[in-house]
Amino acid sequence: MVKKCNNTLKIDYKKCIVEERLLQIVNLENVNEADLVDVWAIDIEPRESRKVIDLIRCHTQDQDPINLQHIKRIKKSHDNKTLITVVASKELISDLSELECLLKKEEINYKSVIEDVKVPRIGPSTKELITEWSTKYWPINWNGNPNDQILTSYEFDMDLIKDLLGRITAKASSEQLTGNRFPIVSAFVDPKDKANVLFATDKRCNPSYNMLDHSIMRGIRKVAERQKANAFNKTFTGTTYLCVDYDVYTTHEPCSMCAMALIHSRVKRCIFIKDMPETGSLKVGSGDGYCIHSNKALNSKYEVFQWIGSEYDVPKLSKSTCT
Amino acid sequence: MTEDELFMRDAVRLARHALDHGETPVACVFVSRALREVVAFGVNATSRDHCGTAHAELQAIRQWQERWGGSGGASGGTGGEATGTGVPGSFSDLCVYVTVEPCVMCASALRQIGVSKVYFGCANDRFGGNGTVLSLNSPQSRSLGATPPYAAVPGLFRREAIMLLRYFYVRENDKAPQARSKGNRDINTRDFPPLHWGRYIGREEFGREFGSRELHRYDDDLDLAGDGVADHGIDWTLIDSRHDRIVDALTERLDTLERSGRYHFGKKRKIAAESNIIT
Repeated sequence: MVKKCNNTLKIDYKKCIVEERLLQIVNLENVNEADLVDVWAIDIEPRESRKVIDLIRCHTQDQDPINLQHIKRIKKSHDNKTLITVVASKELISDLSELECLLKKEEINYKSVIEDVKVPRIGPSTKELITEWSTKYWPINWNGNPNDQILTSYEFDMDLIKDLLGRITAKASSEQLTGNRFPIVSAFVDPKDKANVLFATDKRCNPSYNMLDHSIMRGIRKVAERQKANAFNKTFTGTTYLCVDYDVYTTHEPCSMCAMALIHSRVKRCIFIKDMPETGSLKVGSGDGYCIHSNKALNSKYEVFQWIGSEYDVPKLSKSTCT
Repeated sequence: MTEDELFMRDAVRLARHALDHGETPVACVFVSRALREVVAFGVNATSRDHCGTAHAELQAIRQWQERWGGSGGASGGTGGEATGTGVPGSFSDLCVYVTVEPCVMCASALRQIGVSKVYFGCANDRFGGNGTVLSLNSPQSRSLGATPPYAAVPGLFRREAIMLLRYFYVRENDKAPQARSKGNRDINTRDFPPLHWGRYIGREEFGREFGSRELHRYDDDLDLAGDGVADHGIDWTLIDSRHDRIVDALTERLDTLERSGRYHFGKKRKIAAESNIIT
């Protein structure tokens, strides 16, 4: 956990703004509506609790793809005689035999496995909701608004971000000057090879491309081509699988095709400058409000920020343009 | 067998071909509605291309552009507006037959180029963009500029499409560093989830598509072919045999069509676009 006081960046937790410039784009409706995950719980005698806690510490807590720190692990059963303990999520342990095997190995005496326990994936954003969720779903700890923790844990290299936003803005302007009617530019930064930034422009008006060659689609292709070209290059230190953990900078808010392409490519973060109120698909208020990067149903996520300062003047596009 | 079924069979063969080449078994054919002929096809190539966006539909769009787009460029410089009016070679003349529901990205791409209709085999539970997760094709979706909506019809060779995906996931599991328990290796060939037709098309539309005698399937979430039929309604020879020649065969069909001169895009389309402006 990153402590708030250790973070030297200025973060406005209420408005979700970093350094007065980067607005976190997130669908808050998702946060205040519990997203439930299946977990394995067992019914135990109180004296077994120490062993079970040890098991959780050593075998499940750190390995679990679902962070369960916000829930209380133990609650009393209805008759108050035994304790119901959450061992792990069903994403960590997929079937019953696997769970039974682990419990046997750790010599845990349990009365039964309770299969249908569901807990919220993330804690609620307000203290008021804690009581409601604790009664409705499962007892929850109040560790503060989980989004504060998320914001605190993000890393921002403000100099790098400003440099790249400046460069894509300049490139977009020069695209416009040379007659590109879609002056949209994206930059792709490999976390393992930050120096070699890949830039991509929108090519839909270029006769050798097609109308789906938006800057993000082209950037993803360029990353793929670089990886293919370096498949047997032992000195290549860059990422070798998709755009895993890439940061993507783009002049205009992506359309649904591009926003989804970023999910398929497993990028970590997207920072855009100009929102597209009609055709964008990331901001709650843009387009159909898909919020593709934080859409619960799509079950994959990346961080999104909009630069809200006036430093970068990107070319204006017609409102109906998909970027 | 209907023409629609024949086109989807080509897509299923291509998907089997993808499976045999280590790719996710999803494939599609693009058909000109005016000519009733295949004008492009695409196979998932995410593994070959190291690219998470090399989905079958985008591969087909690219192939279509390369073969028929000529130097005119499919973009036509309009960027987002649909072109043509259903004449051969226009976007709105295209009908897509794809084994799995297009994902959100592809569903958006198909809308942006302006295809008129999509038939898909099975739903895409995680990423489906034609009704399962989002409905990029519906009139209610307004975030794609002035592009017209398109109809999406599920169900054709659905079980075959599902089986190919099951074959694939078992192989992937075997490759995983921590192989899952052996029980998972027995592929389920019997049970298929219900098909919630209402999510994708209206009842009337279903009736027009498959005949009013089949409406009980719509009402009961049943497959077009399925339970109570021999082999669970699955054409096993279609998915259990290799189709090593399918790519060549389809390419030959495209070559023949190109030589016949019946299907154009480049110059012809430009003329069509200009005449549109005059009228």
